[in-house]
Amino acid sequence: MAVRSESMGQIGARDGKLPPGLRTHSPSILLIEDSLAQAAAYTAYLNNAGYTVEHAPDGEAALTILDGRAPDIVVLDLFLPGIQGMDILRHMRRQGHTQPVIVITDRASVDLAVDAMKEGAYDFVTKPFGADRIRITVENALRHRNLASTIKTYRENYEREDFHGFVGSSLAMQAVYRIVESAAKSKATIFITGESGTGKEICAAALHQESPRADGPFIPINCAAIPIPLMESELFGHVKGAFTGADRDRAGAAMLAEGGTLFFDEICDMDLELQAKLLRFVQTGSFCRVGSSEECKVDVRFVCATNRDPLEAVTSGQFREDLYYRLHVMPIVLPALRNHSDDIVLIARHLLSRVAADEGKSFSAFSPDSEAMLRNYAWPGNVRQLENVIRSIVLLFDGGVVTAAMIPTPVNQDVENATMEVVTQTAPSTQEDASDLNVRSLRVIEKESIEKAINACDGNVPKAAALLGVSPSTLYRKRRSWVDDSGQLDKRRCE
Amino acid sequence: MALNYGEVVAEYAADDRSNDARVDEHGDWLDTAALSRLAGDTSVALVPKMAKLLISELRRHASIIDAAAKTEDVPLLARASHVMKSSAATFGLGRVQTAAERLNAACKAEDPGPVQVLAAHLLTQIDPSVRALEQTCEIDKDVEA
Repeated sequence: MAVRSESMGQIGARDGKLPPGLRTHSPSILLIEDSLAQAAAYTAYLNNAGYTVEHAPDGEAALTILDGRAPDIVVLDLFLPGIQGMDILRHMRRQGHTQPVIVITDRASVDLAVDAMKEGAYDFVTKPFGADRIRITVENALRHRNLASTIKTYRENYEREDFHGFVGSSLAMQAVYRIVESAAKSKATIFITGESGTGKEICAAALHQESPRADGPFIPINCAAIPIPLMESELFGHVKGAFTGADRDRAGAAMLAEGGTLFFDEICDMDLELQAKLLRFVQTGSFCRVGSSEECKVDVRFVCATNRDPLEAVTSGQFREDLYYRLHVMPIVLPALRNHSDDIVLIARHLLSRVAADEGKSFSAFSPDSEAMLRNYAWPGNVRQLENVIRSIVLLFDGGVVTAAMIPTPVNQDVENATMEVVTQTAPSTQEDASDLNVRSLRVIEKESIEKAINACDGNVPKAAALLGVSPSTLYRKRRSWVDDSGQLDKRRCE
Repeated sequence: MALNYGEVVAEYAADDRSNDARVDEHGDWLDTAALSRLAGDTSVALVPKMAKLLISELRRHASIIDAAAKTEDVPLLARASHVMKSSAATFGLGRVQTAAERLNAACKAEDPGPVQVLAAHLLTQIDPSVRALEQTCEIDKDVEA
């Protein structure tokens, strides 16, 4: 410190900084150098190259500056009075300062500079050095910093392994994350499509979390799981006496979602009559509770989802065209798991960790051959099926590693068989009964399996769904399709 | 006659960078080519200001070395000689640089040896070097005072 005040006394400055003309103003550099004469020279070198330089004459001053704001680059003399340059370097790394550090040393101390680089310094220059040497080193360091920043941004935006409950680092999922981020900012209605088990509700929740309404409620309503007579009340609420059993006023999902997001899952399964009321609600934000003519108005953001082709539902008359165009403003298509198979193992590991914790088991990894099986299977039930398989393994076995022997059928089949199975399951049979070949259609087998499971669960559909490894809404939808096939639905509509 | 500072700059302007250390009428107290490079790397106006800072720094460290040599405070000698050799090199004070390097190396050695002798030698190099720098940079002592 005495060195500083004596030097400053000779040139008239008393603030402990470099004299006027040597101080500066573009990328910012913190120069930590105890010799004022050398600091003056280095500052001039860097100023002439267009950099803003802030000078710290000792370690204490440097730490104060570093803890207050972040320069783009640090030029650090290793030999300082008090706190040594190496200690400043370590402090910076401990505090998470990631800017490049260029170390100044002399020819006799190159070993120390190498140690500094092991501690994270970007490069070193040896005294005495001219303007070109430090300018080129700083330029390289800035390029390095910009590149590192670009890579970090890229990783944050394009290499995320998870996002609001989604797990997956594939390009397909990165695209989903980006669309969700972009779409969430607006109030436009989102229409999510994707096979069962692809995470449509997770997507809706992610949209809500990323939106300006994140502090408001997120209210999901499953249009397939709720019996049609109850649906209107569930959605719009009712007043006391509206129907038998309505012994008090009750707010519906629309009211509960005020200021937040209202998510209609399985929207194509909504009753046509209710679709008309929903259309009015979407258009005006207004609705009437069941049993009341009083209009209620709410501010909600609509998100809906279906595992069906909505246009096909429109064509078949199951979904109102006007409602479709009102809701289908911003579509998001969730990829089937087989279409981002790079993520299967990542998702499986995540699920194994979670399920093992849930069940108090010690599983923590998959063996390479079991991972290969998971990767090769086509997962027609997508992530939900994968979760069910993992849960069954965790429940049935003990140990730390999931082996190939623990993988159940049909996942343990070879790739070709697995693919064949998906093809047969996803392509609907046009024949109900190929009895001539003594082969029953998959649709018949499926119906039998579902009915058997429901009977085994004493009519409890959610339990049967869990047993079959599908969502309850899938079973409700399947059952409804059987009703449609027998013409009973048409009869009910006429009534 | 002292080498005019303007001449030094003129020499730099003639792009005489490729020459190694030059020896002029200041003997080898001052490498004017180094000073010319410094002027080219910074600015003509800044060199006298920086030279003043250096002179102040040299005198300050000379006092420290003088006191430390008497008490054989080797770490302090090492520290002061380190700063002195680096600064001197930047401004072309070759003799100070060499003497400071020797003292600094001795201080870092397992057996420091005759640090007092090396310190005394270093101190004898400072005043002539400072005079050469003052003359070359045309530093006005009245202004300095």
